[in-house]
Amino acid sequence: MKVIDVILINTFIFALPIVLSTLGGLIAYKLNIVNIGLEGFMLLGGLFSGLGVYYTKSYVVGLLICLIFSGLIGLIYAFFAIKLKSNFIITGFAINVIAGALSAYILITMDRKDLDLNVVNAENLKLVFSGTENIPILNGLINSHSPMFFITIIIFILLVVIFNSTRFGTYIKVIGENEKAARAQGIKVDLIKYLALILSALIVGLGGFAIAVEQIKLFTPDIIAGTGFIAIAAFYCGNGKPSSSLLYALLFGLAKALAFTLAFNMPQVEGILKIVPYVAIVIVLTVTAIIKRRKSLMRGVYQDE
Amino acid sequence: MEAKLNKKIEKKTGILSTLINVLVPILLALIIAIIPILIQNENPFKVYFYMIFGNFTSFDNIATLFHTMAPLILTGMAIGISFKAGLFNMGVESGVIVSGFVTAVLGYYLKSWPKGVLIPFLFLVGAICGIIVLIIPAILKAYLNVNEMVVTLLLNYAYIDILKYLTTYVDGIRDKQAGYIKTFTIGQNASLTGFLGSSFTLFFFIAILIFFILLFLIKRTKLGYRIDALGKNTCYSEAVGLNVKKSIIGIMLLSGAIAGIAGAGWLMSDKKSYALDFSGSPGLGWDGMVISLLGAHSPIGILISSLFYGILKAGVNYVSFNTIVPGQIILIIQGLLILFLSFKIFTNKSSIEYIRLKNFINKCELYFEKKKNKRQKIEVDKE
Amino acid sequence: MFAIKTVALTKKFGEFIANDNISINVEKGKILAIVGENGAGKTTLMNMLYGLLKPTSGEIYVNDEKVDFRSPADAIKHGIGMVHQHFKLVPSLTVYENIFLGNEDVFELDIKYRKDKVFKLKTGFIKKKEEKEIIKNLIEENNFNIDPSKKVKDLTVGAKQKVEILKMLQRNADILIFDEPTAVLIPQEIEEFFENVKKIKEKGKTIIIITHKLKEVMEISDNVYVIKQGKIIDYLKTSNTSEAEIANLMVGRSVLLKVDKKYRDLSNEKVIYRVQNLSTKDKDGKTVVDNVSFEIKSGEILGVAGVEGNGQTPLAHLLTGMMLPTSGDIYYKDQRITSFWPKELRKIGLGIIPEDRYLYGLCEEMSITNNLIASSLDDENICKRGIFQTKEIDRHCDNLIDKYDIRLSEKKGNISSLSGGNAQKIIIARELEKRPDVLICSQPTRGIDIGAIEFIHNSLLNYSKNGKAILLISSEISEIMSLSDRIIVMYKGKIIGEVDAKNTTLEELGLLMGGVGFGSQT
Repeated sequence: MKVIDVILINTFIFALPIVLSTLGGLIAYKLNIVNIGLEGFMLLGGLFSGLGVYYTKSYVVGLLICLIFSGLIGLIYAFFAIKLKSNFIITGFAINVIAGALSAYILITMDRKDLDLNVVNAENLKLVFSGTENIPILNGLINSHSPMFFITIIIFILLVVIFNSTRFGTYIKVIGENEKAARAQGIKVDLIKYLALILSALIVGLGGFAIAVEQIKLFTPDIIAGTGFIAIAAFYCGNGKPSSSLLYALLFGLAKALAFTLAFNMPQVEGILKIVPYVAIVIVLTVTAIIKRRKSLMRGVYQDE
Repeated sequence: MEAKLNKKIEKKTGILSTLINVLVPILLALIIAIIPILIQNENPFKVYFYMIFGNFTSFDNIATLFHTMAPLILTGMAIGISFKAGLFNMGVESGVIVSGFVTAVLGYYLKSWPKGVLIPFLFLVGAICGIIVLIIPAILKAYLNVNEMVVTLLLNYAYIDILKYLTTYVDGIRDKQAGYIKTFTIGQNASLTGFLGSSFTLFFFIAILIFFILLFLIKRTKLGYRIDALGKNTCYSEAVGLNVKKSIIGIMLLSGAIAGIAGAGWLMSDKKSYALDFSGSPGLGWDGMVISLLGAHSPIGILISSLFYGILKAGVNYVSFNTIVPGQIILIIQGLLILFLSFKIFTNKSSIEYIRLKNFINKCELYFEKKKNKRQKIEVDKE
Repeated sequence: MFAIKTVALTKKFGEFIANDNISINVEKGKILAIVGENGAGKTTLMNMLYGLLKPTSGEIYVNDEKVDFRSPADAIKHGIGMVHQHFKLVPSLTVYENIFLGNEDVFELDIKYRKDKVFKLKTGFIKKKEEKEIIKNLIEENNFNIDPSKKVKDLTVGAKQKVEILKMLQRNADILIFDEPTAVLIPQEIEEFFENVKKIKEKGKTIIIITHKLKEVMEISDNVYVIKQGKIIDYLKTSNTSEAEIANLMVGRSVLLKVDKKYRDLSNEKVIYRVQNLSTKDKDGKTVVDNVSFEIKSGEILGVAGVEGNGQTPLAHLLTGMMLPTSGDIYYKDQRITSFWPKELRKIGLGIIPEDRYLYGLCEEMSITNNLIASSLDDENICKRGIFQTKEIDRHCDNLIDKYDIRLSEKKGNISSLSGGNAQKIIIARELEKRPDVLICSQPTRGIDIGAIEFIHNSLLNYSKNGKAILLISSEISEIMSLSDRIIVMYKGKIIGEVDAKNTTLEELGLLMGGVGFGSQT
């Protein structure tokens, strides 16, 4: 039973950034903007939270700095996508490249290879409900969670509420579905888009925080390692619905956790096991595409639905 | 007379708007990149001076510039044809590294083969590697419409990990004598050596040759028509009888083959063995993306921008040698370039900006015309 | 006092005059019909009244007040509501959410300050329950029989129209404009719609209906404006006129363009193209082509008439290889060609002139030359082993441009630099030059100038003289009547009747298109 606990705990650890990135990316996806820059948003979130934590040695200050800069990056991205009508796929890609570049450059300027973020000792912040440590599975489910775990749950609930019962959420859906209709109804389309993209960036930035400060406790330019793209796969598979996207994100987290746990027990093939999550996601994408493939009888139409 | 003038104005506006579309992003990127340079407490003009003119200070440096350009032309074209066809193919980078790795291994084991056979063979193998890498995303896109960008990006990570594993752990691949993780160095017969002791090799000519073959294919053949039509209108492609599935697969695999050749050539001409940083940072595939964007996915544009980008990339070495700014500044410039290239100032001939520019040129033409007439008049009067 | 009055309203799109000096008076509390053929300028006029388009010149008065609408929002404020032909609804939202969209009822927090002053803070939370209740009442009031919390995408077309009507009622619109309201409805829904419109009229509201279906005009309207080529032709009281009179005014002799159709005896010709029990579904699973069968002989022009949206577009897609049938077969010279790809169809000798010119027929961003050679990419002379023979191509294109009188502003330009008529001529030239034995031709003259229409009509007639078969799908009755040998009429995906073009009348066709079947039924 120990193994299951370990896998469960690891699943949550690995899934947390994926979930955050998925939820953030999903807001943009609802606007019909596939933000390929999630990877970069996360890395920059990690970078600024890393810098914040490293210099102030405070979890909270690191979190605040992360939020401020993530919002700023979201604003820049929104400015390009909305005001300059850029090709947002290329803009997103540019953010990925800039994020990597900036991280490497700043580390070199500081004359370091990485930033040690264990200074805030995130392990101590983990919650354990006394008396439940010895109950199998339950232990894995509810214990040893970082503050970000609970923040994520709150964010998820908030998003569901926003999309289901607020004007803001309704407008986001309407704009994504039919921007012209939204404009015809007098909805302030650009304002909603700006707000939504900034909100999206904030949440994705938290994903970077989760990886850098809580999961790896170290900042290097390659800590994200495809998490952003995994998130894109998650909301693609989940059709942009918060709950099913969340499930896919958890599933991908599980794949990572399994690979990690296996690698821990079989160090000789550790390297090759790392590809398991990526390959698994490509397979899941393929399978969902087969299931989703609507029986459209038209030929020659190749736009994403 | 008026029609002639209109045509002239139209032409001038076209050229000027294209120039502005390319030059403004470059200038913006270089200007913003001044900030990190200033943080380093270095003079930006000095940095840019070395970055650009450092390339032309000696014969060796010019040779290095062309040597740097060779894989860039290829990856630029590999990305260019897929982007032009509307396919966001990010698998070029994996094509480069997989082909580089396989070339390194075969170049070591087949070193007894004669040079004249081995080198063409390795190029061929490289191309095949590139094709194999892209075959899965191509089929998924063509038959199931699975987003090719997400798949190629995810598989990039998978390939990186696979190669890392093979290079690190597999006996017979890793050169354990070396101080870092790398494969055995390829044999003399697999190696493309530089002319006159410089780093300039045959690879450059091969790249140029492939470039011209591609140029011909794009401009003068049905394949070029396929690429163009697919990128502009899939329904039209299908309706006039160009099978869209076939086009998608063909274009993706061609792109992979070019990437593979780039990887094989770079290994044989420069790296000589596969290490984890083979493709450099940023990878050659990503360089190709900037180059293709800069060149607006047109072959001639890509050739010119690979020269420009080659200058930056080779020039960075002279920067880090002569100033305190690290080579990573090129990464930032690259990112900023992509960012500013993601939007266009003049989108098409009916945009307000374009019409404004046209009116401006019109005014200038009229002004010069008037001045000319006046001068002629004065001259006539004098006579 | 008139509900709406326009004075010399004119709208130009570039050189094209869509509305020319239109002055109309809309009486309060009455139902006004505006009739005219496709492209007569009815919708342009309504879009100006609704603030979607700005008039080039002229004035609009609403309840004797001069107005200058900058957007639909201004029109709504003046009590004007419009139901477009294509509904502006958001499919994934529910009925009541759609009705309240942009106008939501939100919770307000009362914040008291300085003892007696209250600041109402609008939260973003929508009062879903209250909204639903209001709409439920509204629906009951009008006997509309729809579920307010159902999603719009699950509704029938008729129900969607009701949602649009409710939206206007909810906003207290006094003047309701309907653009081709019955175009997409089935007969039962049409009946219901008329009932509802009459009920709304009883409440004192003014209604304007744009249509080209004369039966409906007679049934429901009080007054009729007839509009033709952007001009008002006549103003009639419905009780004093007849269908025939309106039809004459609307179509007029001048619209029947002069083409010199000589009917030939085709009884000895062989059947070259045959369609048998063809059916297909759209992506929502609705049967849009229903058991269609017909055959064409060499040298024959078979016209497919019908009100738009009755299955002609999917039929054309099926026949051109852009869509797959669910059942049925297509034969060409006794070879089964069902589900052939467009490439294969072209190879065996079919020519295709698609309905959507800029989507399936041309690539706007490609050069004229490239578009002209698109169907000849397998031709040895044009493309030998995959390599273009530039000299031959230039010669070929010059030849076509000359032969088909295509007027270019710049020779090397893109298709986007051409007018609609010249763009269509590119397709005609490309397809006819391949000398196909069967030509599938959809809406060949939609939205192009008279000169080009005449040229294309004559090209088609001449082409069929050489013993070639043409299937002509068109929603222009005059075009079908003047070109075809035989006419089949589609209604709701089915072929409802077949007539001989030589002996038929406008009335007979009109009735068939309206779903009243007679003639030799199939």
